[in-house]
Amino acid sequence: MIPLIFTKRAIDTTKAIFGCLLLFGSARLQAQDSVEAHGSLKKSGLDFVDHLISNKESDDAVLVLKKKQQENGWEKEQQDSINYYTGWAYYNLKQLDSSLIYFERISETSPFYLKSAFFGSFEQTYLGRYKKAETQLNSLEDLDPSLQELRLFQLSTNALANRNFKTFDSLSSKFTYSNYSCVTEQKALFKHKTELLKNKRKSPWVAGFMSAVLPGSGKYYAGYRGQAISAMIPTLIFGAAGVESYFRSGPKSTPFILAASLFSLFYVGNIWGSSLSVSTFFHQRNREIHHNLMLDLHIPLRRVFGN
Amino acid sequence: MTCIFHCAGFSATNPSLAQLSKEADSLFLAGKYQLAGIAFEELSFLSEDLVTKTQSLIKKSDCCLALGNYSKAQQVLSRIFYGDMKDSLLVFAKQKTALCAYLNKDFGYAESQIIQIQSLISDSSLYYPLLPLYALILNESKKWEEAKVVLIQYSAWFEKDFAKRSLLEAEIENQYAADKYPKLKNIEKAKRLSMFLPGTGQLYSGYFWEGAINVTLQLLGLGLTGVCIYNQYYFTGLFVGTGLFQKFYSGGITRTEFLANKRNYIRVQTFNKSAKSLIVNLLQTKNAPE
Repeated sequence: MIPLIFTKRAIDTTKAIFGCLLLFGSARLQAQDSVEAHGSLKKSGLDFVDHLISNKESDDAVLVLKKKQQENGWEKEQQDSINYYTGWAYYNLKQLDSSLIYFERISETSPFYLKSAFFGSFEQTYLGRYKKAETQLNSLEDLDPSLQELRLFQLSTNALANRNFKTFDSLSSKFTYSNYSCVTEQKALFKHKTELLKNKRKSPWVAGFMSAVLPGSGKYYAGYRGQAISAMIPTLIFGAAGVESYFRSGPKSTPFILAASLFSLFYVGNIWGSSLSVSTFFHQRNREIHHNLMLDLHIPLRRVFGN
Repeated sequence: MTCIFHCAGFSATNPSLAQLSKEADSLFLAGKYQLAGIAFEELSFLSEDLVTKTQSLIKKSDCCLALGNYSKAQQVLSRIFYGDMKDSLLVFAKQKTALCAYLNKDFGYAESQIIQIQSLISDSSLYYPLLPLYALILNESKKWEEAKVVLIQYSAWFEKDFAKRSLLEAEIENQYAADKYPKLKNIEKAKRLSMFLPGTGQLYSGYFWEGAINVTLQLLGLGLTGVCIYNQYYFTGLFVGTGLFQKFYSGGITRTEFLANKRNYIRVQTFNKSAKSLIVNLLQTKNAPE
């Protein structure tokens, strides 16, 4: 037993060291890129734009970049950097469609290419352009193993966001969990898959029928469990009040007409509400899962490529 | 506008900081605040000198203030590096930060800036001019007793004439007299009143008619219960009547809480408004020509 524990520990330690080395290697590569990029930035004046973006002044950065562009103030060889910074500034301003336009203009030889390609495909997925995201990720060549794993993770998330479970299963089966930047999020994908499978589109007719038989049960069926009781109580109370007045005063009495009218109002409203709530619940739950998927996709990208 | 971008140092040539500063100022005077802000930002970025960097960020915050963007002004000033800085500049920067935070309704942060000035500088003559701002901040934090002390300190600092100073102090004492402090409604008490004597919570909060309407509706619910039971509509009485009563009863308690908060807000704002005019008067007295 003891040797087994030691063996497990040794494996864990090796994994941790390997992970650190990978991260260090990746960080070193990025730092090198950053240093090289910084040198050229300083010469070109783009370092100020970089400074603006780093200090959360992206709106000012866009203004500076556009103004200079209008004045033809940038040199041709700076075009990739300008596109990158414009795209990144828009990304920080959460204007993803504008950001994409600039990311897509960056040439493969640019040091910003990989970062913008990964973030660009994230934006495509976020905007629901799944096919484009997939094509963009598959077009990336000569990736090191850790980035290959990141791409695999991103492709899997894209497939899951597109509800393409077959592709997701095929892609996720290739996970090696070798990139420590996305291991947690890779594992979380399977949880998201289960949630998506559970969130099935239900029939508004069934919900309406159930509420017609037992007021509130349609809401329960739709997924709004708490609302079922609150929908049921007033309907049943007015129904029972109607029955009571019917037996006490007859069908033509004012108490009966009042109670029956209120019951009918609540009863019909409940059926109508239950039918509508099916679609509302489905979309609301889908948005929640999609939001979590996007969050889990975004975090590793930030870890790998930085801010 | 074209001028600033040409001279702002985006080209490979070394920009003239003095020229850039001049153009940033002219843009500010021309009311082009966003462009002026960018120019000041660039000045801060290009300059190696801590003083220029700090002054440029302060001027950039002025541009944000002119655009009405208080949170951005506060965020810009939070980037100031307080390294080896002279007391006068440190006080100016912290004061500006406190002002922006005050305008941004971040009163805790604003107060912390003044407290930092107090502990960081040894020259009290730099600290006293900040006291009116400090009093405004304390007022918003409902620390009126402290605000009074601060204003008395301020008047003692700038008014050396004993008679005039006594007058000012009397004015401050009058404004901040204990019986003039806003009498804040106890939210829990208001809720409890509504719970045990429906309608009285709203009355206690100063909303008589709301209380009257609420209690009438509750009585209607109870009345309906009574009438129904009297006419042997037991189920309708017990469920419809009491259901209505219960809805208005619990709604009344929730509404009372809101009304008590509203009343407190109005009272605090009224008092602070009057205290604000006193502070403005004090500043005008200080700045008035002899």
